[in-house]
Amino acid sequence: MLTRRIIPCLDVHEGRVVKGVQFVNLRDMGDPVELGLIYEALGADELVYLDISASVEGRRTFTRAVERIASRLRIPFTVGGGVSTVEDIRRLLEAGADKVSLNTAAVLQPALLSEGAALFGRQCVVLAVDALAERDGYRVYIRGGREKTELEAFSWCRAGEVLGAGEILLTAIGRDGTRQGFDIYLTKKVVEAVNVPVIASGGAGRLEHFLEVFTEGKADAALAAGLFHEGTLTPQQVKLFLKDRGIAVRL
Amino acid sequence: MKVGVIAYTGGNVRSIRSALEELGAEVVYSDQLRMLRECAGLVFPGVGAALPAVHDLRSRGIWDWLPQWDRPFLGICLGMQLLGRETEEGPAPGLGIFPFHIQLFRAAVRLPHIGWNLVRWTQKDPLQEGLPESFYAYFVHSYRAEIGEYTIGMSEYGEAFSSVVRNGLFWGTQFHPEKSGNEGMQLLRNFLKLCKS
Repeated sequence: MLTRRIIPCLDVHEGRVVKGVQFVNLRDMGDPVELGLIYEALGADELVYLDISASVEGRRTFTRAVERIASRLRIPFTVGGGVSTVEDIRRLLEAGADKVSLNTAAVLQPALLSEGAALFGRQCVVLAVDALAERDGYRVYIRGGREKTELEAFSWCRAGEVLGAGEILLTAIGRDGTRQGFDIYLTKKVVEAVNVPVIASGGAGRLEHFLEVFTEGKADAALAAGLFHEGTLTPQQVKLFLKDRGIAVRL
Repeated sequence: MKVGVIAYTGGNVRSIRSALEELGAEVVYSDQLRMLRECAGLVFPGVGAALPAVHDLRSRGIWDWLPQWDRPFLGICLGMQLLGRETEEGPAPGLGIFPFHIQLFRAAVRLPHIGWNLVRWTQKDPLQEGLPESFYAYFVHSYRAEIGEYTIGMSEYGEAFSSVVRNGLFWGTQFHPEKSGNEGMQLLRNFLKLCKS
């Protein structure tokens, strides 16, 4: 039986893992390879590395970090952040990433999803969607949540799948960092709308939140950052909790 | 000991190369027949699309030569699928080393099949050494090989399918051992042992 995945997410700035709120007050957390290996040992099923560097030099440093990660890590990992051309996708896959996530660029040039899928296979193209609940439904935001688009979240996820995305990384940006729990309604609706796997993100704070997002939300995977980085919980603890409640996990 | 990793279009191979090196192999990563034929074993990694891979290997003379290979061989993911008769993906022809037909999952709800799934050994095999009767491995694919007498490990995703196959010195895994943690490394270690003997 296919298991549900627990995925820690790491923000990388200039080749170092950092922690900060809204990209300010960045605090150095360590080397992406060393932290990745620690999470692998702590039961992570997969990792996501997001490059938050804005400079060209930062991007180069990130690519070199991806090469080092691929050489050491024995679990799969996705990379994202600032990916805006087919060449960016190629560079990151050749560096050793298993999957590349597209967010802003996919909204601005949806053809990037189909080109990426045609060239490299849809299994390595992840559509990252930042959704915010508003009066008239869920809207898609881009540029790290700073810019609102005209897109409605469910139809964008469906369109992304048709275009070529092999997986959807769905973040409820209103929940991000709140520890109030995943947006179950949003997750469930997206899972029902598409036929590709969905990774739920945003709001994880307690063990029960993971259970909810898998049972009620029907997510295929759950992603969290702060709660793992601070050592509140380990992926292994989450998975033991889930297993006791009948959820298939890899232990 | 030299182990060849076949280079072809679309192959993202850093992980498999580094995994084999970590286990002590000298990896020859090449698309040249004269380099590959010197190796004690060959690994056919699997990423990218089927048809470009076939064209690329054909143009280098590797495709037609492969069935004559007489030392241990390991096809991974697409690298395993291309060992069959043909694949619906493309569609593209296979090498015919195995009689299976690669088809899209018929019964699965969600594709691709991405994540960790259980592999259960169905026949004793040297690749199993040091591994439990069943273990979790990392899969990422939408097409699968049916169960047959060549099946030595099986998994389920809406239906049962072959996750490890063997015919003589040709082995194949649908999952990625290089991405499957300690168990995957153990399987690769077992393969290297076969190359050595």
